[in-house]
Amino acid sequence: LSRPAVLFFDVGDAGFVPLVDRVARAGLLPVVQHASLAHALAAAGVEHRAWDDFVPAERDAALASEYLRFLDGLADAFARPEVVGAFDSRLGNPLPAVKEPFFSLLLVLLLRQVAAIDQLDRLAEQLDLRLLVLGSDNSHVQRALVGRARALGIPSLQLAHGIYPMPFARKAGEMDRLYADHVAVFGKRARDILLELGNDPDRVQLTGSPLWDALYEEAARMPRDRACRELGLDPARPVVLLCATYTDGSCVEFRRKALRHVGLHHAMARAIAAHPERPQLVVRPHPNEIKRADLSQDDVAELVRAYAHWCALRDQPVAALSLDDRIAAIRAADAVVVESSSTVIAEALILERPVVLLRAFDPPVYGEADGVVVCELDELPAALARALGDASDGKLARRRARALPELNHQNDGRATERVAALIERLAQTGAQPSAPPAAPAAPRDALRTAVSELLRGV
Amino acid sequence: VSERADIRDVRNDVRGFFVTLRCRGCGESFERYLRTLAGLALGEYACPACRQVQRMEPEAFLDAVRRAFAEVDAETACALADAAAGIAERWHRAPELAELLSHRGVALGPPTERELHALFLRGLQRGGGGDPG
Repeated sequence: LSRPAVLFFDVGDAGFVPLVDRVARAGLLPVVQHASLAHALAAAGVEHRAWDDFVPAERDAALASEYLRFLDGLADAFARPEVVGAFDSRLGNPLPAVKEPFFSLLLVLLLRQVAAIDQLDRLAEQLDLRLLVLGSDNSHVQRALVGRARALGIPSLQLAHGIYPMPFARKAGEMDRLYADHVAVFGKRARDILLELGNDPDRVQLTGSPLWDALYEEAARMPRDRACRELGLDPARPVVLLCATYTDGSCVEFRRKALRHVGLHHAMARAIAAHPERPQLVVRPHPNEIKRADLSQDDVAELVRAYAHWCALRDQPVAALSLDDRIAAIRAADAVVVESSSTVIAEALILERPVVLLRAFDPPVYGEADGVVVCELDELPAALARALGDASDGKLARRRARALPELNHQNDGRATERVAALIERLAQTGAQPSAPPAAPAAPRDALRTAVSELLRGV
Repeated sequence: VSERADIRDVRNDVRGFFVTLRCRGCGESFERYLRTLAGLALGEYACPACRQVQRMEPEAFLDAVRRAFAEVDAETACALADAAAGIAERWHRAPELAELLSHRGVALGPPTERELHALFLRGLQRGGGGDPG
């Protein structure tokens, strides 16, 4: 119980090693749950403990007992009409249509929470746990840990992983509603959105993104020619990077999103063909798209082959696919086309590349201040031509000067220092956890109207 | 040698999409998580019974999405989202469930809201209370 401990949960990016290192140097003991971060810390020689060291000895038996309790209890409860009636809505009761997946998913969600809570208790018995740091706070396990930590008097801090947009339509438990006691946000733009949604200003901390610090280092200013060669591109010809995204099924707009991915590929092909210099197209999938599918290396290789095959059959002019080489891909590009509201917009601006923003389905976080905005896919050729001219006529420099300070606090590449100081303060001063989250703010009517108009054109 | 996938159904959840495929060799139906790259539905899926491989094509997946989910206007989309969110936030608060859905003093219902929202959305989109199709 000597050194105060900080648990890093679902913080997995190796780019957080400098942050955890600073926390350890400040006299705190990092406990790390994510295997990839633990591996990177071990390689860097940063002392830490593993979350898995605190699995309770009788975990399986305890979970089996809880499973039976839930099973019996749910069977009894759902025999009562008033419990089933809670699923009624003016659009019907979805329970008959999803009864089987509901109960099987619910049991999994409940048991995972129980396991995490018991493990947190075990950790708190053995170490002087002072703070829970989360990579996000919207999954059931993360929220169960926040709830249990709060009951134990331990505060929690979420490291924002993006600029959370104003919701187009209400989503239960979405990121716009703070669950952890504090959130460290990238910049003023992110903070303003959270405050507009009714979150407590004292819980929203301006720090900047620690994962962007590396982009400010000299090593990230890779010469364009070298970046092109790394990707197998001809430096003498223009390069366009398309940062694609994927669709999850959690929001009501998923149908439209799913349909647009193919359309965007064809629109890019038309835009490339229309440009007199026929730029080389590099496509970069969203990193989470592969991570969340939990694919083996062979699976990823097969997927890449299938993508190349599809591109070849449809005359898609894809010169390279970028999976791991984010900085090289951006620095090779003369323009970066971004499919949705994404952190890569700020990354491209930090790395001095102009951006074409394809209007997302959520209300925009990014806009004309950051790049050339495209609402309809047939605007893409003109927008691409404009973006390719931005660097040469000074517009890019003006955009960077205007946008970056509000996208990444201080715009100085020192967010790690500020987040480490925040962690130290919360852990060392015995900061009290907040009250449980209030009801979510309703989306504004005017915003809905604006988005409705936007969607008509899609 | 792979055959073009025969997609019988699509369902959504918080992770992404699941597709029900029918094997063109033995007729077995099986469900798989849909793999995508740059948003395009791709990949090969082996039948668990006869191991015959099916090849996913983006255009075939889009046809299946169009069949499985009706297009809705923005107003309807907001109404569906509101209704699904309301159910996700409400059902676990029934007094009969308070003790059952807690562990060491932590209410286990609220943390499930985001994951269950997607499920209720699917149920409502497929005609809440009716045949899941």
